[in-house]
Amino acid sequence: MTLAEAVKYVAAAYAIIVIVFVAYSMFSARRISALQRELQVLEEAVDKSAKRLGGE
Amino acid sequence: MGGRQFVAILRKDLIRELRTKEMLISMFLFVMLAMVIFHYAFTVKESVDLTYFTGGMLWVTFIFAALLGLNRSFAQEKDENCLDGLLLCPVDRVTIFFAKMTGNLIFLAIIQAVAIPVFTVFFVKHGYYGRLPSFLLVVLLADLGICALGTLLATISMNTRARDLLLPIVFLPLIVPVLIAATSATTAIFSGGSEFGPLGAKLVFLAMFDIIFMVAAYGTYDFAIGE
Amino acid sequence: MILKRLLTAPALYAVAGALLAAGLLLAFLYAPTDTSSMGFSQKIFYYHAPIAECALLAFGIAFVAAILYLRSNDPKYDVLGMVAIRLGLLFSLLVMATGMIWGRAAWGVWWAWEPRLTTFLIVCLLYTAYFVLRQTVEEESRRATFAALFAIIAFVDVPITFFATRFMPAGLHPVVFGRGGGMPGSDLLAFFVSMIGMTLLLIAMLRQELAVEHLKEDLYHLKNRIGA
Repeated sequence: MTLAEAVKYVAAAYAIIVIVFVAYSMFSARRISALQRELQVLEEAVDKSAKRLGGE
Repeated sequence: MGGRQFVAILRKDLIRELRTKEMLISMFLFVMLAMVIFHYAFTVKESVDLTYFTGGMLWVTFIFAALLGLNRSFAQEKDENCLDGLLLCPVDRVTIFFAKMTGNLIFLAIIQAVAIPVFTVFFVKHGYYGRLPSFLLVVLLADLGICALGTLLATISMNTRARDLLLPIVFLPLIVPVLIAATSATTAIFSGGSEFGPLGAKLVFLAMFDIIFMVAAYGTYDFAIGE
Repeated sequence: MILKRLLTAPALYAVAGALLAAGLLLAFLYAPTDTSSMGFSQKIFYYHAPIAECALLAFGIAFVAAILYLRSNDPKYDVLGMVAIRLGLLFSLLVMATGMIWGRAAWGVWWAWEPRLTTFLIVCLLYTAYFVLRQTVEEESRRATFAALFAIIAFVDVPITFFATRFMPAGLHPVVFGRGGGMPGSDLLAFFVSMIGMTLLLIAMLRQELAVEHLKEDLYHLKNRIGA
């Protein structure tokens, strides 16, 4: 195996590692933002009902 | 652990099986069919010596036959709510485990008593009578491992929604060590070759596996069988 | 606040990233390149081995969490175990991928039934079954109990499997990583830095996953309370 070929394999290996970790963090970030949206909706709902209770 | 209760549960399982014999018959048919299928799968050219494959064929067959038996042994308990009755009895959970394990071991041994001579006649070209005692020891130790781990996992999978679908998925990857050790030991015995390393190490390995998983089952069976 | 706990993760990530980058630089610029048969492709190991170590560490954490769960029945250990196994599985897949690439570079084949690689294949199958098991139990405490049992059994089985793979006749492919992992031309410092970095990365990911799972749980309870 020549050095040039070996470089290709090493690059591929490190690329896969980076890609997997980046993909994981993107996936994770999307999950977190989805949860945050849900939390926001809930907070608004709680605020609304609190105002309604306050008005009565 | 109560000896009398152990015998009672074991007797119950054996009697129930001997009345219908459905499990034994289907396991036996399965073994014979596996032999025919393996023959055609591996005869890749005229006059292949299958001696070297026989160890692997045997243990693959036994592990799948054991799977059939393990699923049955708890499916019946679950179907008619027999297990609830069993759990209500003043019996240690661990006693239930060892009784079930022994029952499965007996069924597997019966199957093997038929399958091993048949496989030998059909596939093994060399005589191995001189090494028969060590072979039987391999079979016994591997069976113990299969039944100890299998009974524990069958108890868990029976309590899930997937039931008999789950057992092979959890059982097969965990039993790989036994398959490897038993297969290489059996192949060494059948072929009379020494390229598979010393037999003693494999026997010790199988015995360790048995002890580890029996201890594990002893410690965890209360959790596995549920309240 | 739960969101605040998420914010502490970036610091951990930054340290892990810096260490991993330093490890990489050391591996390529400082460590001697092996001139034997393994050649340049040996550089893969500077991340491959730390990832493997982290995968096993994650499964070990799940094992401890499982024991703690069975002793305490505290659901937080169930979540910890699940999250650890999820990450362990991710790391194991990376071990397999990089191991296969190295095998291709060193032996010219994508797969060799070499003990460590084979063990990781079985480990991947084993811990995937963990999630199948979780899927098939609805009742929460029972699911946690079974998952814990399985995590214990699986972790006990991993070293046994590794020993067993050595029984296979050493055929075409030599056991490359001899005893003690003696790799000519390797540099311990680069390894060590990468290993610490990878471990910190695992811990950061674990914390983040845990925070997300707790957030999920809190949301679930909040919804139920509002609905009631």
